[in-house]
Amino acid sequence: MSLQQNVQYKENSKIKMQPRPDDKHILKLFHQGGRNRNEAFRILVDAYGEMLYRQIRQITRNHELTNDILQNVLVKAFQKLDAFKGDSALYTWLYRIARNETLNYLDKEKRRTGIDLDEPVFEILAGSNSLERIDGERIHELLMNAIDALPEKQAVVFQLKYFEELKYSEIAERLGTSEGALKASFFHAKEKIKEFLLNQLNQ
Amino acid sequence: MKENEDIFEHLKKRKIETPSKDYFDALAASVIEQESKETKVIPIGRKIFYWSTAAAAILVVGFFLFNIPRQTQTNILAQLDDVSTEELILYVYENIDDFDTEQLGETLSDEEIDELDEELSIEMLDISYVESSESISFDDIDEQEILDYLELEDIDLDELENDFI
Repeated sequence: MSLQQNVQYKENSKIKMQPRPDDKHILKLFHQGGRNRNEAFRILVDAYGEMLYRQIRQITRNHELTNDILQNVLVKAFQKLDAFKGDSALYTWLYRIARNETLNYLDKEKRRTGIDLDEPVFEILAGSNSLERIDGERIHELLMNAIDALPEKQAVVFQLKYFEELKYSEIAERLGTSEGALKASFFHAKEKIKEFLLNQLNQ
Repeated sequence: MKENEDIFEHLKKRKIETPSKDYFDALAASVIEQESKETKVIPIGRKIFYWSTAAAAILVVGFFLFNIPRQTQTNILAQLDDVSTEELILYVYENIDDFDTEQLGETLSDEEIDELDEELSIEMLDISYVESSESISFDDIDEQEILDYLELEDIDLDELENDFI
């Protein structure tokens, strides 16, 4: 997979987007060791750090907790990247580490109180009879649980499409899969989430 | 909730605040520094070039002879005549944790240490990196060990299957 140059122009300004690094390039550089390993890791953090941060923070809803967890995730990534065989996309591997670290961390921290929490990620719009009965906190909790129940690949696709709002072509490039498969995966993910909510709200 | 209702049409996502690029650059640098320290703290490289000198072999003899009666020292020295330098070095290497590497280092001159530093750069001495990148033979690991590891790592086998499809 070669590097792509993406040039995007905004109104009244020219913004040149950095080319997205090739996962194979990152791994190759990392395996060379020494300074190249460190440089590869910086490229990895530059490419995926923000997405991992948002993935974690949408669950923790707190910057300090997110910072602690993200640090753990990146340390693990650094330690284990040598052993990464490339049997999944690099982002999928990182997503998995971030998801496990977040859940493990929160399990240990569940008794902690007095943390300032962000506003819920979701705001309920008018027009839904079903959702009028619950508030943003509850829907946030239900949706996080629903996403957590998805198979990993669907959860990754949902994260990239719904939360990161990437185009299917961009997701296809990152995950090394076809756009058709992604559209199907996203559709199934949404259906499963709706089914989960249906079960929870009708209990 | 009605079955046909699309809940996503009634939800609005709030944008999650994300720190600036400086934050992520600093985070990457912090992890690199932390992991580099972990590698250097394990002085395996230093241990290698300590034992690789004949002076280490002499020191081994010295450790053995300390506080031992003279007659016994004589006997030990006579026996050590039959032991090659290579065997002494191998002994030190295999039991390096029993030795004070600082004392071993004191047997070397500054010039000898500098010479060895040039021969064995930190990158070549990144033994932990080399060891971590060595491939593991799964013939040496039984199935239960793998299952236990997966459980500790909270990895769901069913989810793993998705990655291999």
